[in-house]
Amino acid sequence: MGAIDTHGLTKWYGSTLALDKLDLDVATGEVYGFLGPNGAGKTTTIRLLLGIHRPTAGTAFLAGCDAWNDAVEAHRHTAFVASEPTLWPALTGAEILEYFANLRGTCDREYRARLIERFDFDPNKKIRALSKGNRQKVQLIAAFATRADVLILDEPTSGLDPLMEAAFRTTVNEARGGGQTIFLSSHVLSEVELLCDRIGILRAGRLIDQGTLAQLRHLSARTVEVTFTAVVNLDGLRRLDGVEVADANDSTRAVLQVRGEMRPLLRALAELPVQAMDSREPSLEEIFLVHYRDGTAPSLPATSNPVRA
Amino acid sequence: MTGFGSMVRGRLRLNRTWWIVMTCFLAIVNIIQLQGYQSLFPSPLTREAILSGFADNSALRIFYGYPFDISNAAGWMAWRNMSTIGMVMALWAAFVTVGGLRGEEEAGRAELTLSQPQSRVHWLAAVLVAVSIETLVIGLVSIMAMALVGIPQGLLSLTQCLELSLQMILPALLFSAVAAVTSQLLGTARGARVAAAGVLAVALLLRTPADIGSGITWLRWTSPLGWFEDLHPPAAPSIAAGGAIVVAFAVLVVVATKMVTWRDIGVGLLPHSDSRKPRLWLLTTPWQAALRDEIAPLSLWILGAVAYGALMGGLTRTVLEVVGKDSTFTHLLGSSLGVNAFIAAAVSLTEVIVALLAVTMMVGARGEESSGRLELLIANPLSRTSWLLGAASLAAGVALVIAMLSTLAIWVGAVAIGQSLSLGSMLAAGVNCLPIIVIAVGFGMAVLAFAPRAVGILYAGVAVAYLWDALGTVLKFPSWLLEVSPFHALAQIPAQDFAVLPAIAVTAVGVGLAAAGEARFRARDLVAA
Repeated sequence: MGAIDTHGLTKWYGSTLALDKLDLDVATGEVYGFLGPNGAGKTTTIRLLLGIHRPTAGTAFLAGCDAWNDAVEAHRHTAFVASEPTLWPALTGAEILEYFANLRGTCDREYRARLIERFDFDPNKKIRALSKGNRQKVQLIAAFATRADVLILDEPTSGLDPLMEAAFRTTVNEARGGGQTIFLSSHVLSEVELLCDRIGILRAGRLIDQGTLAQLRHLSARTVEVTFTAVVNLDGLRRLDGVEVADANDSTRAVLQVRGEMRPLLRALAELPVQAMDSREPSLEEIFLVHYRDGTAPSLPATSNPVRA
Repeated sequence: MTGFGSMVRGRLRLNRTWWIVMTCFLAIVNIIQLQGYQSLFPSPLTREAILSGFADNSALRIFYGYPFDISNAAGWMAWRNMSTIGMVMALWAAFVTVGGLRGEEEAGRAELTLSQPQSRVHWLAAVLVAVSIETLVIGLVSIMAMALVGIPQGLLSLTQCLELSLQMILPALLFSAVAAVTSQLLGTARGARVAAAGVLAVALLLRTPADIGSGITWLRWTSPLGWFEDLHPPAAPSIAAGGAIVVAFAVLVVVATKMVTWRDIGVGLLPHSDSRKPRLWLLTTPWQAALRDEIAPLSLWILGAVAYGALMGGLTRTVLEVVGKDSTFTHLLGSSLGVNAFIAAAVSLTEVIVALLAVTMMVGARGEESSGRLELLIANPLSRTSWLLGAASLAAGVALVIAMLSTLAIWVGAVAIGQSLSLGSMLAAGVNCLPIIVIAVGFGMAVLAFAPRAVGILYAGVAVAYLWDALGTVLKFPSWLLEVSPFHALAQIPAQDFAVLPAIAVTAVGVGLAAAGEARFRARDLVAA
């Protein structure tokens, strides 16, 4: 059993299906990115993992403990950062950090002091006087200072400036180095791309794809930009399977979207006066958009990790 | 003025629960007082002699003001009822106004509203207009209630009903304006509410010497509560007093509208510090943190309960003297009427106070859930049950402490005037509040678990139970029907001996509600606002 394990996890709110038979298996020490548009079911998943909401069907296990029936034991191994930093306005940052440390019973105070410095946080300020980003820092410092086995982070960098996002990435990498498991729900695709070992994509309550970034790229087109020394006829390229001419403004330059094998395109280009060629992998943003374009799910190819939803 | 109506309607909609509760509660209280006057003083011949004892008592004058003419129903209602209801209305209006102004700023919603094409002055005016509409409706319903009961019995004329309602409405309007100013000065809703309540307390302190002394009636003019008092029906309302109220209201509104245009939204005008060295006490468990958060309001509850107890204890002799003048009281209050009967009646109100405190604490616990902070707490190794039981134990513990302090204060007040009263019986009276506390907390747990978004009905529950007892007694309900209210079911200590069976029954119902609430809370999803 992994650090996070769900089987057929389902949640209905009245007549609304918020999560549909979610199967997740996040290994110990893994950083797992959880993507999805608003209302896809990401926060519902987190609430079910933390035992805040009760599953309608299925099971969820955190660090080997049943997330609902054995929530307290599960939480001994878990730390959580909520997307909305709603804290106690009359307390200072230092007081809240101490409150959380007391509730948990364990805290690496030396590491906490380093995190306070790293995040450039003033612990003597009252919460009501803090910006959203600074309130988020309180949650991040409190969570990482626990050194918990599993960290569940819901939009953790919401409100943080780019410097603090860098501090966050450093901290996540430290946690990964320490063997901690991180479940990262985020809209910041660049962050997920940089940090996560595996990524799951959720839509309308269903996990529609998951895998490493390399595995997810199977669905998205590779972008190939070609510059020719003379005007050429692109009809031959258009007839190739899996090749789409996205842009060809003056017939001396073409931007192509290529799915599948590159060999037929390379053979065709060999016959043309190519001056330069640039090819790049699809970004996570492009992958994400492919999954949501037109509101239709792509079919999952065999190369992808199977989706058990 | 586009959007002004929407802002007003929005405030009315947000306040609707409290608005309805206040409207019904005050209308019923007015009916009870009016009907009670007719029942207690049926004979005009003996009325003045009976009432002189009350009227001359300094302690009563602190709360009720100067008794200008209590030999008729209008004068009695103005003195006995409207002076205190006026203060309740003033506090209510101040709290609602602060909620609409500083409370919205604290929640960050004011920024959203003011990012629309709405001026700050319109925003402030919308809140004041909404509070004024609510106040007028409350007054109107009370006028109708008093007219319905008073006119057919020849107790009140319609004009007198209108005059009496002025003593309810004007304090609310004026203190709404006071709260509009404190909301500009203080950076937190709690601070603004405490400041508005402080203004009311100072007004009471200023009025008190004029009411209980002689030759210093001019002091009444230094206090808004004195102005309200000078409206006293059945005399025609004082033009000078009415003018002072109107001018003060206008000045406060102008000052508030000026201030709101000067300052930064989210920040009060008075200097404040947002930094301090950490204070790490009472941060080990959620119930400790809740206690820490509530220390300031709890101090006010304690002060109020102790002051009430001491006042009631100090009134014992006066009441006995009054009662001795007419057999009606003996008939109404029981054959064993004496110190103990009066003290038991005073303790009954202590029971209401601690029940209200207990449900207030449970409403505060719900605030942790609705704000989303409970999710952060539960994500720690902390079970839902321990959090809920912690909150419930804190509510019960604090309520019991206040019950004991209040009954002890009654004993101190009585002993201070040389009245013999058993300390043991007063301690027993305090402990006798425990079943009420248990049922209030159990009710709170059940509502929090089954209908978390409707915790406002907790106050309605206490009000209904109290009014059932009060109204039922006036309307002479059969005993078994009266005992549906826990306030009636328990023994009236020290007038009666501690009754085991009712105490066990009320406690058992409370424990049952608590157990059902705990089971449901353990099984349900947490629900944000």
